[in-house]
Amino acid sequence: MAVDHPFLRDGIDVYIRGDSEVHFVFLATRKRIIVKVKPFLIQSLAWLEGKEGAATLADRIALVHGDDGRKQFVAFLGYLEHNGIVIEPNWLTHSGLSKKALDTQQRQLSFFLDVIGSPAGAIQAQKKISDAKLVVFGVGAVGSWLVRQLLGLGFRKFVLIDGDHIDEADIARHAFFVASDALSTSKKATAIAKRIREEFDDVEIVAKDEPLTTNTSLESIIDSNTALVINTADQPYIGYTSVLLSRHCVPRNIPLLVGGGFNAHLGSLSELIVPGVTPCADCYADYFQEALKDWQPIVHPVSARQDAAGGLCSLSVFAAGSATMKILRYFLGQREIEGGRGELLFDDYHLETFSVERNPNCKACSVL
Amino acid sequence: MITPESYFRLRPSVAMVPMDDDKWQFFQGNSRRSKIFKLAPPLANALRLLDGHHSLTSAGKLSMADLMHLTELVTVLHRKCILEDATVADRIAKSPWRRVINFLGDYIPSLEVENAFSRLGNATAIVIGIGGVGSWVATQLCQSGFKKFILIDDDKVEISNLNRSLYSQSDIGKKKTEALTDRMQAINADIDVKGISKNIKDAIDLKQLIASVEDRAIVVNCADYPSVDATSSVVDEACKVSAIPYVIAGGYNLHLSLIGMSVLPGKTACYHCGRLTLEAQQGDDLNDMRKLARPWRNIGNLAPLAAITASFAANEVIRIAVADSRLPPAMVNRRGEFNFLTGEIHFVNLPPRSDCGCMAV
Repeated sequence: MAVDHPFLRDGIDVYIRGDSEVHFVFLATRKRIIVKVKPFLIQSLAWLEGKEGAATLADRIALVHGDDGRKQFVAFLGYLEHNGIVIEPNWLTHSGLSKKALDTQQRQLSFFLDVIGSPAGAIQAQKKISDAKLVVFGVGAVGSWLVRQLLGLGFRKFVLIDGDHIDEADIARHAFFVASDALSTSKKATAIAKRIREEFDDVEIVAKDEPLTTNTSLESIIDSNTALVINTADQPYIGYTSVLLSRHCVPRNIPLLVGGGFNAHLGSLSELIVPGVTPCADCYADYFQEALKDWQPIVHPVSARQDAAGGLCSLSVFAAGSATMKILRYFLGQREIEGGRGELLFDDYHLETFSVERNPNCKACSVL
Repeated sequence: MITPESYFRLRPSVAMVPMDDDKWQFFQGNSRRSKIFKLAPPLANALRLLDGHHSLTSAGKLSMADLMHLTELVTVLHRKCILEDATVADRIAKSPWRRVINFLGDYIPSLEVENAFSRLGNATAIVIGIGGVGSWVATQLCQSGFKKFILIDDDKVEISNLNRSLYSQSDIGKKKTEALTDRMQAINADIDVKGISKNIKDAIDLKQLIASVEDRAIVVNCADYPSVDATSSVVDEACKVSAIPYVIAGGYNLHLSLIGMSVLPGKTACYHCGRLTLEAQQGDDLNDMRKLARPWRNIGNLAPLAAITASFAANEVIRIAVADSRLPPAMVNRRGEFNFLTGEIHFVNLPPRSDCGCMAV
């Protein structure tokens, strides 16, 4: 390995105690690595600006500290590289990513580098993102903000499915619509696809202006190249559409993100269903059926309630943001994915969370 | 005034759930809050009839509830945002802003909620810095019913901004103030946006600007250059003279996903109160150490971090603009941090400090 031009990368603060203790503080993750080394190695940290070659620096050390000093310096550099503290300054030059992707994503690649710790890992994650095809059911408030943020991350391939028309009230909460869209005869999916193609380069978008129902041909929409399915379709209600999609995705080993943002879950953190790892939509449904069996609201006296739902654009953005984070963590290779739910309580922004386990007797996923 | 001839209904977002012992839970779905009342069966039965088409008299008769008690109960449940006036509800249903108004309706009774919402449109939101966080904040406020904006930023849109801001490919090279103004006016043609394409370097500039605002002004600081601390200090100085509330949207330069704080000058902890407490806390194990000096660095950021930080700032500006003690800002005297790796929020209390000199103690 051994870097040619060692560069102490940007996302790390270095604190020095006395003459032999160094704390490397990773800004993105707040991880801290503490090492105790010889004072001359601490002094050498100021040289790691990516300008001078490792061999030149080692020679300089050897002049004063001899061959032993050189060996220690080389070992120290190796340690710093191994822990993602020191990298090549031009680590993105040979990444294989397009110039446009590099220009657009430089800050994000820095973030990935911080979180993953290795240049190769960061580049690979970005490539995985730009290659991934996502199938999105429902592009209302939360769905649209989710897609908008995923575009920001560099996702480029989407299938958007929604049977709705654009309503005047959508303008107040949607990521893509402008006032004139309320007069348009286009349906949501087609209108959004058009706007995305106008605003972003290199996108591949398929729009389907149809609702998700039991008649939807999931086999043809969710093909084998699908990296992830996203569900924010809340008609007739989200639990129903999620079970429908989960029963299709889980046996085919396709992950499913169930978004929040609908009635009583405006600030939901969303659920990522990873087949065989997390509970599936049936596990969740069984869990809540049991947990809420004594909680039975009366039949509401007002029968037409759809125009009376509340919501804030900022809560849609929050719900979409936390869903986007879950998706990103999954693409960054996060292994431990916990099942459970979380709700942001608006009163004091407390996150109310609880975990849900897989149901060992689940009809849908226990065989996995 | 609620009378026996009034028409009320159970708010559609409220679930009415029977419990033991004649108790009823009213669950407000928008805010996930519950209120529990013990009700005599005839009164509970009368509530179950309140669909907006029965007057209290009629519901009382059908359920054999005492009309005076029912009127009193409806008055209380209206104040608690469980019932709503049917005429108001009809009006709200026709508004393109119905979702926002219905949300506020979890906190503000229906007979007052339209006025409360109109206060958003009458306030002037001054957004300082419209990059990764600020472009999201301004857009969300525009989509929440704010109508008057002053956007301050001297930057142009660059390709490296696109990963986390709300600008797009076609905006590259435009002034951020112009690109965002266009975007916001496309969403709502009725809004009034003043773009100021300059760098607010000192508080004098900002003070003058605030003084020129005739409406209630609320400042949101989303500027992170040279640092969030430096810009917040300028904002604090400019706002405290005339007690203009401000929200520090947090940022991402060296602090990846900060939330808050919100400051009502003279009443709650100011930026400097917070800074003093944070400095005292941060000192714990790093203050006896030297920090290796590093030149300007390229620190990572990404869309959802900017969006989440901005969503809290927008919430706070809405709460301040509503100006109602039933929905106060939630980030006064504290700051939060959203952890990307765990999805958790951690809050730190930052009380007003007597050694700060801001008079909030």
